[in-house]
Order: sequence, then C-alpha cells, then structure tokens
Amino acid sequence: MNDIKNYTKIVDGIPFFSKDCYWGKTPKKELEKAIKVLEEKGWEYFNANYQNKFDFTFEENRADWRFNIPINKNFVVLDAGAGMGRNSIPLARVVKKVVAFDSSFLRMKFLKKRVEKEGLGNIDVMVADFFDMPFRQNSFDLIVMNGVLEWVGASDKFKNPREAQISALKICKNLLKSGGYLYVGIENRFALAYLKGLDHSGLRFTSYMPRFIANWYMFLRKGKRYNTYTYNIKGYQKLLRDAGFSNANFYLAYPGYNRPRTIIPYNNLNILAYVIKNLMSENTLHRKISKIVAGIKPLLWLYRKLFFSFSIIVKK
Amino acid sequence: MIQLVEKIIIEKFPDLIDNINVKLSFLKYSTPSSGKNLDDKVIFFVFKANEKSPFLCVKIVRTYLAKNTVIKNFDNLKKLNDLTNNGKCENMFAKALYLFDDGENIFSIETVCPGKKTKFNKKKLKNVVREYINFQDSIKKNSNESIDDLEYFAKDLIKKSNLKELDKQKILRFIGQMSFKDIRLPRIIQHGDVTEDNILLEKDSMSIVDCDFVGFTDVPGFDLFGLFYRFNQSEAKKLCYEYFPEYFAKIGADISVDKYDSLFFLYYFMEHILRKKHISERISVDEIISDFKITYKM
Repeated sequence: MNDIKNYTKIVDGIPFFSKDCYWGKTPKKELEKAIKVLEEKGWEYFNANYQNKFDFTFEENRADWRFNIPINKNFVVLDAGAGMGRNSIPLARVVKKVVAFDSSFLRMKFLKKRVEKEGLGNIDVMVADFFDMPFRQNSFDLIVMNGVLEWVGASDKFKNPREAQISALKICKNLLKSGGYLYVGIENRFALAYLKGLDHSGLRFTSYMPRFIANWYMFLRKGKRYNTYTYNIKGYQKLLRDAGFSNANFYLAYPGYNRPRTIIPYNNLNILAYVIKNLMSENTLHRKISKIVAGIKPLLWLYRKLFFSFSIIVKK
Repeated sequence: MIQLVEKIIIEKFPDLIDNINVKLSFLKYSTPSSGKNLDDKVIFFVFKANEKSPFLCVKIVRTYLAKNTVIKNFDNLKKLNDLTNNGKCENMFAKALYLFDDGENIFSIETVCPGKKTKFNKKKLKNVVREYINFQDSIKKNSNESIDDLEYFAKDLIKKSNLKELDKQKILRFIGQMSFKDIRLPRIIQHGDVTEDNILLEKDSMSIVDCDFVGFTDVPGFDLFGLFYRFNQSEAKKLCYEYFPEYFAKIGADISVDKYDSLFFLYYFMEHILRKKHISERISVDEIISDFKITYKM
C-alpha cells in the first residue's frame, strides 16, 4: 500500500500507521510468550501446546458469513481490526487481496507468521487506527468489521460511543467501492446470554440497562464511561441508516458470529424453527426448552429477539 | 455464492419452483467439526417463501482447491441412488440432482431427506438396525462378489496400509492368533459413516445422510459395527452378537458366531487405521490393539 500515506516505521516487516495499542482476551504477556515459542520451536510445537489457547483462531469456518455475499476472485478486502486473522486467512483463499490491520502490533505479528505459514501472498498486514486509516476512498469491495463495532466507542475522539460507531461506519462507507459490501459481526444487546454472563464492559447486565444508568454504574465500578454499545436489530438498523447505509440484511449466527456454524436469515421464522426442531440434538435442557419454543410462534418471535448475535451484511 | 446457487436452481430446476419469481431463502449449516480442515463441507438448505421445510440441499466447500470433496460426495450419492433406484429403500438417501463447476465455484444440489436427528435409545436403535438390514438386503443383489478367504483379505489390507513396517508386523502377529477360516462374506457396499448424527428419523422411515465415506469398504457389518461402537462403546460387542446373526443370515453370509471376534478386529482396524488416519497418527498401534482388547473384552 505504498501509494497511500506514509508509515512511521516498519518492525518485523510490519508497517506502522499508528502507535501500537494492544487489546485482546489473551493477556499481552501470554501472546508474547506464544510468539517467542513459535519463533524458537516452530509451528508443530506451537500447535501441540498453544492451538487451543487462542479460541477458534485456526478454524476455517469463521468467515462462513461470506457465502451470503457474491465474492469473487477479484475482490479486494479490508479486514478492519483483523486480530489474529480469523477472517483474513479464509478470505485470502478466495479473493485477490486482503488488507488486514489492527491497532495491536503483537496480533499483527502473529497474523504475519500465519500468513507465511499458509503461504498466502495476498495478505498485507499493518498496524493502524480505525479513525486514521491510511487508505484511499472507494478502494475495497468488502470491509469486515468482525467483533469491532462494539469496541470503537472506546476511542476518546468522540463525545459518546454511538457517535464513534457512526463515524466508523461512515469511514467504511467512504472506503467501499460503489456496490461494495460491509460485514458486521456483533452481539445482540438483549441477548439472553447477557442475563447470565458478562457484557463487553466486564460487568453484568450493562447492555440491558438504559445507557445513562450503565454509564453511572460503569463510573462507579470501573471509573470510566460505558463505551461498548451494542443494540437490538432496530438499533443496528437505525445506526446504519444514520451512517448513510440503506441496504442491510440481518442474519442470526449460531452459536455466535465468531463461529457461525448456522446462519439463519433474520426475517424467516420458519427457518429458525426448522433449525431448532431438526438440526439441534436434545442434549441439554436449554435445547429441550428451545424445541418447545419453536412450536409456538409468539415464543419463537421472542426467542429471536433474545438471540445471541448477528451477522449483518450491508451493501453500499 | 448463494446468489449464484439461486440462479442455477432457478435455471436448472424450474419444475421444482412453482414461480420463477419466487424468492428463495438459504440456511447455512455446518457440523461442529467443519472448518478444522480446508476440505470440510458447508451445507445450505434451500427454502421457498413461507415453507417450513427445505426442498433442496446444496453442498459447498470453502475453497475451490477442495473441489474433490464435493465431487466425491456427489458421486457417492449417485452410486447409492443407482443401487436403491426403484427399490424399497429408494427414499433412504437424498437424490443427487446437479453438480455445478465453473472452475472457480463448485457445488452440488440434492434433494433433502425428511426426518430429524434424534437421540437414540434401545428401541430406536432396534428400528434403525432393522431398516438398515433391509437396505443391505435390498442391494445385495447388485453384488456377485464375495470374500472367500478373509485371512488373506485382512493381511492384504494390513500390508497395503500406510503403517510403518514394524507396526504392520505387530498387527499381523495379533491377527495371527485369530481364526478366519470357514468365513464367506458377500461384498456389499457400506455407507461408511452410519452414526446417530447421520441418521434422520421420521415416524415410519429413516434416512441416512453424509456420503463422504460411501464405498470406503464393502465388508458387510462395518456400518453396524460403527453404529454400535458409537452408540455405546461398552455394549458394542453385546449389540453385535444381538444383531449380527440376523444381518448375516439376511445377506447370505457364511460365518459362525465364534468367528465374530476376528471380524470385529478387522472392522476396528479399518475404522481406526484406514478411515480415521488422524487417529493412528496420534496413537500407537500398541494402543489401538490394547483399546480393542479392552473394548471387546478379548
């Protein structure tokens, strides 16, 4: 990408367009250690000892949402917040080029090693900031925001998280070619799972709270604002409209957008019922209850409202 | 991709679609293990508007380089269709309809088997075995070949395997203690992966899906052995003794009950060394023999 704004430095072959800012479920030290092991002992040893520690990183199914997009071998893709390359690698196998960036140098370093291992010559890896991306307008056929939109509100450049999210989406819209696609993988604000687990904030129930209460609660518990906004389907529709997108298709991703084993068109309740009744075995109480729910339309409608996550495909 | 699939369905199967302007919906589905390897399949169920069940099933791979997975699956299904055509088990398998390959994309289109995955209990297992035996009975007429010297067959299989020479010798020594004499088995194509997950049940019928391993072997009993082993490992031997006499009698095999152990090991070897190569890469032949002895109380 040497036709765009200059990088500030190159480390281990990775250009920096912004300062390094580590993030991720895996503590930085653990990833540093893993990369060191990889460099010293090779992939075989790494796979035997570390593969399962980085959830689903090596599975080829993470980008299965792509089947809903008419991708072809001429596509140029931007994987924004690419992390360890869970989408970049499977996409690179079917498109012309993938540009993967992340604010974390360490994660990009790991991705670069994977790219080399897989022998994929069509992935560019770089450190960059979402709000200061070094790309020209109308450059990409597809932009991937997988597990990213909920985090962009952490930027202190905006007065509130929603503003940051709209700005991020507008940036994507500008970078997309006409007729290009934006993919967003993200949680449902009112997912049933958030009643028993932690929200992105690290606290329980914050996604269910009105924003101003979540904000106070967050200040009280963590000393900072609540900035990881998720929405329900109407919320995402409005957010996308406010960013200038008008053509969005929603899918339910099961068990989650990170492993979209089953992808169900949101607007088709019959398909959701079919999945629950026919494709899921009755091996847990939750599933047994789901099967009963699937037979009662109002309950199924409600169940859909509480589904864990969405795959959203937006056309420019 | 699904835009291309939709176009081909409308183009090739206008009879299946009531209205050319019909909007099709696609449900993407893959098994929990699909994605570990590049050649794993992805399935799409195709629904007409307002329909509660899909009418077509489309199989895709994640990269064109893995196209052989789709081709093999499609050919295997066609093989089963040919064998069961117009017979009483005609509806046990989906119908292979169309294979699309434009050099960049590949997918197969087939009908959808009715029924749903069900957790087996002994009663359901009994019904499944009965249906399966009927299926094997119905296709035995297609084969005139038989295995008359099972010892030679087993040794040949071991010698031709990818095992190291030392491992081959260990296995040959182990089967040397078994009796393969006076066994004659008709060669009958096996599905190769008859598991609870691959069986769909309806009130009065049963379907078997996933044809990746069809024809992997034609040693009869392999499918039932695998089914029992996965249903309940500790009872697998008992279940074999319960159902094999009826099965072998129906397909015209000549084997006495006291020779079952040698057959069990042959199935075990095929399952763990030939079919699931990744298992034999992780554990030693000694462990495989030892596991077999424990499971089958040898």
